[in-house]
Amino acid sequence: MSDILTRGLETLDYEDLVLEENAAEPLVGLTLEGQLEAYEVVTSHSALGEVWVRLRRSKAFWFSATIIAFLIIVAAFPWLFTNQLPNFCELQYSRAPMSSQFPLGADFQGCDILTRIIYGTRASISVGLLAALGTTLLGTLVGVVAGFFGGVVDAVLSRLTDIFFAIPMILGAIVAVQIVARENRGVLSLVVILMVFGWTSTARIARSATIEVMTKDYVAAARTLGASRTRILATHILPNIMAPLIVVVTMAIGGLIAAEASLSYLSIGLPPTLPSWGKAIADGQLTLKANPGILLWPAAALTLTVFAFLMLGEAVRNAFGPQATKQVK
Amino acid sequence: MLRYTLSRVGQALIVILAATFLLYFMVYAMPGDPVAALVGENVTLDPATRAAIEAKFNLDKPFLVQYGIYLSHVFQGDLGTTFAGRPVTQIIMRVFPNTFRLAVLTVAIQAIIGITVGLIAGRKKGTVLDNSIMVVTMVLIGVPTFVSAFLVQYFLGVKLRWIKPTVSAGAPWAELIVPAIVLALGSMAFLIRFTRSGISEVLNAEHVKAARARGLGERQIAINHVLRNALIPIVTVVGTEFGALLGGAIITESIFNIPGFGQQVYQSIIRGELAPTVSLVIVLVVVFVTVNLLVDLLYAVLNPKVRYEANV
Repeated sequence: MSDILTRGLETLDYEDLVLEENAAEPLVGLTLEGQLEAYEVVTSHSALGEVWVRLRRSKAFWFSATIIAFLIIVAAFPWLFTNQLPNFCELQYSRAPMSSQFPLGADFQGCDILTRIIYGTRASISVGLLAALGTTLLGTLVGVVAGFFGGVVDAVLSRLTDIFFAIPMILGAIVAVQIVARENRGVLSLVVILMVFGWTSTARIARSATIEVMTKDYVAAARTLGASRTRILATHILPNIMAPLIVVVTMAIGGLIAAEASLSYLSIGLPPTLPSWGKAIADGQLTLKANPGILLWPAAALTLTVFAFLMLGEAVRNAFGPQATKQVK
Repeated sequence: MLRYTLSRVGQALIVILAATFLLYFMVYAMPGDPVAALVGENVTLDPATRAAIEAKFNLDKPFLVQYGIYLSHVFQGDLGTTFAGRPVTQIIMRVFPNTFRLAVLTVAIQAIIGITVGLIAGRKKGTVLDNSIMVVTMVLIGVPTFVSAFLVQYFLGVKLRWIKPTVSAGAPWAELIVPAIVLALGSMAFLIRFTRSGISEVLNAEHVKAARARGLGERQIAINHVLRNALIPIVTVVGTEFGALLGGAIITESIFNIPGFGQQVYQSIIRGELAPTVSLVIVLVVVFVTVNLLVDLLYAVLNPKVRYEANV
């Protein structure tokens, strides 16, 4: 029954009204709110406008966006949230319990745990955002060039992607950090290393999206009309592969933040002088039995951050819809 | 199938060679004086000693020749020695069985739970059960391995005393179950999501409707018509997630004190032993590529189209 309904509605060109992942859901049976959303989607006149309509109705989006906005403010202006300095530590306060002076207690070195967490936000957020941007730019460049030019170029770039894909990110970073960045470790060198070992999945997605767009009639039409390669690339290919790439970049941030923390935990991420959650967790493991708070608070901050970015990525993906993002798994 | 197998094996060999070359290049082609690193920065060597050291470690030869020598050593089973003078190969032989047990348990747990829960969620898509499963998977993906490992160690091991906080010597199967669950969590969540979307896609496919129209039972449809088709992408995820497993094993093994491959990598990082670290990472990369090769071959078994297209 519902099947016949769907079919009938599809032929009536109601396809645009299909909202959720499952393309079998007709307008009929939607709540009032759902119908309103469908109406707004149809009447918004740009692709991004359509996405924004769906996004702003998503609770997950507002929830995660609020957390992320807060985290970014903390990362930018950490001194607004604490009146202590992250490296002002006194051994006499080592492992002090929670008090008005140390809201979450003090760690082994006698530093205020809350202050260290607040200043650690900056490292996590900046590494996550910059590395996500970097992997996306590099991956998109390789993927689009491979997909657009095809032939030998594609073969070479695809093999190159395979080779880098064969080195799991954490393993590659372990080797790279020790060699390249033994002397001058910092946010930037870590970002570059995560970029070098993290671009392959974006490249594969960009390549398959490009190849798919190339088969579209409007590309053939542009070519027939004598449009140059650059023009086809700039006005037809790039705008049409944006959807999966935007989704990939948002979904990647959480994973990259976790990767930074893992490397800092393994003591090969950020330098010890820079407050970082991964480092704090590594320090906390020494006294886990007696003072679990030293480990658990930064772990909670890290988990909340990664979770917020994953949730945002999920909301963005749902807003773009299944058609636009089928290359992204 | 033979032709497809041969071409995939060939590709995998090329990828392994190139990836090891890349790692080797990173280590040995970087600026810096390896002789100074060996004898200490402030030691002044007379030229003859320096030349002798360079000749001993083949540093006087061109880079490509050095790589060739390294490769021939690797093929002869010589992966170098640690600072303490123990051959890396010997260490690998000792720790390999432990990591192998951990990996087998992890893959089994993530495949069984991942596919079962994904199947349930996919068939009940949109229900409260499905939505809660989705939220749980997002939390599981969001918690980094070393955080979940510490949480489990602290609450199950220290507070509740259900398990030993660290694995005892010999790493018996039973004690590896909890670390394997920790290691499996993230990839398991990916598998649940993948299976779910695969299942719900296949459930709407024509051949499933046809099977239903022929009057087949739901269980039979789920197993014979839906799962086999949905398995195809799932198998790939198991392969690619194996890379995350190898990275995660470094952390899980050092936290639960499992004398395995990952713990060795962690210890050689901590000790700053570059050569053993690189050798161990190279071995892990070879394992990763091999697993993905097997996955690709399995993929071709499950999906005749792949075999066909490869032969055309």
